[in-house]
This record gives sequence, C-alpha cells and structure tokens, in this order.
Amino acid sequence: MKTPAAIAKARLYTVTAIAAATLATGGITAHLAAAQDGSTTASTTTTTTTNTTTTDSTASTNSDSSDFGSVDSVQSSGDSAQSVTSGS
Amino acid sequence: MTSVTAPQHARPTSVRFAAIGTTNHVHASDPDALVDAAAIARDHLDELDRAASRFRPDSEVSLLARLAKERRATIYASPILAYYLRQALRVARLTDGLVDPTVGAALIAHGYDRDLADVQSRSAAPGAGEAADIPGWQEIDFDPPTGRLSVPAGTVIDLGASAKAAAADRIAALLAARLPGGFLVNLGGDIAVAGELPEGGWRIGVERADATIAQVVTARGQAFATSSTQKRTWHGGEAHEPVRHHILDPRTGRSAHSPWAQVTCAAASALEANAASTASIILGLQAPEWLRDKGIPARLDHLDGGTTMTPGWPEADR
Repeated sequence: MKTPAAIAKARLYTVTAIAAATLATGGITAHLAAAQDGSTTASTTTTTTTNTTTTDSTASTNSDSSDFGSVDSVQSSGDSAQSVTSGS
Repeated sequence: MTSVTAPQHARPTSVRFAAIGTTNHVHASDPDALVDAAAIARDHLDELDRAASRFRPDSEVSLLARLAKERRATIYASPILAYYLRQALRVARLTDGLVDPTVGAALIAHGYDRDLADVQSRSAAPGAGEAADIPGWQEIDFDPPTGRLSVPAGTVIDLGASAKAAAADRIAALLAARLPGGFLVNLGGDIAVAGELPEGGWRIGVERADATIAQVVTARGQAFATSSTQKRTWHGGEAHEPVRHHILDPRTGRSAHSPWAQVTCAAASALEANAASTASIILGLQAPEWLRDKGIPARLDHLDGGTTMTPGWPEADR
C-alpha cells in the first residue's frame, strides 16, 4: 500500500496542477504544462455548471462470466469529444 | 505560458497524468471531486505497476518469471496481482484464448522487452529468429482464495492486454463509490464510466493513429476500448516483417497479421471492450461476424481506409 506521505505527495501534484489550470484558462480547452512522467497535469476545463442525471446503467456484466455482458447501442454525438479512445 | 484571467467559475473537470507506461485521464462531473479522484487513481495504478509490470525487476510478475526460468514455479500472489490475473484469465476465456496472458516470453523474443520508448529507439528488434513457445493460459494453475499461482517453466505472465482496461473499470467503480458525481476514467484509451451521467452522456472521440477524430459517440454506461496495429510498433529488422506491433497472435507467437488499422468496441466493461477489440485484430476478416455473434457494437477501420460497423454502432457522420 502507498504510504500516507506518498498519497499526500500525489495529491499535492494534483492540487498544484489544477490550481495552475484554474488560473490560466478562460473557458477554453487548454494544455497548460508538458506532461511528465510521474506528474499530474490538468489539461481541460469546463466553465459551465455540469448538469448531471442518474440513469439506469445501459450495460451489465458479471465479472466472472465467460460470456460478454449485454450492452446498449451506441449513439452519435454532434459535439466535440470530452475524451478519446485510441489504439494502444 | 500565457496567463489568462479565468472567471471565478472556471474550474477544471479533468486531469491527465502518466502511469503504467501510458497517458491517463480522469474526468469528474463534480469539480470538487477531481483532486481526490486523481489521487485515488494514481495510487491504484502505482500499486498495480509494482505488482504486475514486466519492466520492473521488483514486480511479482518479474519474480515469477525468474523463478520459472528453468522449472515450474509457484508464488502466492498479492491481492492486487490476484485480482488482475483473474481478469486476464477471464479475457482468455472470453476470447477462446486469442488474448492470452502467457505471451510474455514471446513478446520479449519479438522485441518488446522493455518500455516501448526504448524498444522504438532501436534500429531493429533483437531475436528475429524463432518465436518463443507460448505455454497457454490453461497451463496457469491459480487458486484465487489463497492466491497460490503456479506456472510452467519458461512462463512470463504479461497482463498488458487486460490490466489497463480492468484498472479503468476498477478505478471508475472506486471513484463512484467514494466520491460524489460521475466519473470517466481513460487509461491509454480504455474508457470506463461510473456514477452520475452528465446531461447527454459522456462524449467519446474515436481517434485515428494520426490523432484526428474519426467519430464522436456518447457513453451512457457503456465502456470503450480501441486496439491498433499502428501505434505500439517497432522496427522488425526483417524483410518479411519490417514493422512489428504489440498484439501477438498466440497461434503464431508473432504480431498478428490483420487487415485492420484499429478496432473500437463498446461493451459492458472496459475489460470486455478491450478483449473484443484485441481479439478482433487477431481474428482479421472473421472479426465482424465474431463481434456480431457476441453482440458487441464496434467500428473497424481497415488499413485501406474503409470502415465497417457492427450492429449497435452508429454510422460515421464525418
């Protein structure tokens, strides 16, 4: 397990990066610092209040099953992406 | 860096950080949860790396590989290694062994024997001759209640084809259980969501190897993963195999010869999405039918530029 000191260090990295992002952005997507191994970097901001809604999950799975779980159809979005899936 | 005065309400909703050999993002619908969410994610990935990295000599996986170099070896796995090994074995069952966690020695023989950046910096991969034997996932003797793990001589466990996706699922669930709001966890392109959904769902871009966005879709509980033959590549050094990639076909011990540049799948978990996308690369032209049989919505991008969708995946609009 990670030591409390290490967790606090990771948290400090994050707080520092997010504080920098908050100061440096004006509602646009912005890359604020070069990514470095072992560091946390805030990369995007959203300036509007996020409306959330709780819905029933559209996917279900049994973590020990030998079959794929059921999943609903995927819908297109006309907006820009919040996150990307790319080959790894 | 240009300083811009931000309005008081401008607050970040995502963080990016490097871990487990890739770039990761955590998105939170509630900005107040972001700092703790990132700390939890980093902590979990650090623990995973210590247990399961092939590239750390002090990991449990490396210890087991050393012990098994000449004869069958047994260890008692830590809870975290046991958890991720169970996920890897489930992926093997889901894919009928096409995605196999015992390919580690074959990957090393194929040239993937260190961090990818170091592998890619070489002019040619070493060991261009015979492919290494792959013991097969069914040769792993694992008792989850005790963690007792026994493998045949020559086995190198590689969790690279499952651990990243399984970690996305696990971290997303941890965040939703501990913190308010909703979360999207993206570990190197393997995406899991949990908790409250943003209005309209999370918007996920399918990114090509050239970093352009091919399509944007919404996640309303589905997980996503993409497998590619174009990104984790290195010089093969042989005329018949000038470029190698990291998706090994366990039937040959070599990079899968696939017609697909990349395959993106939606599934009930990132683990399942990644299992399906990786198996699809290996299956080649059989992949669309296999995906349809499994009920997996998918987008398959052909090397020639064409695109195939399976039922449940929307037509591209750009």
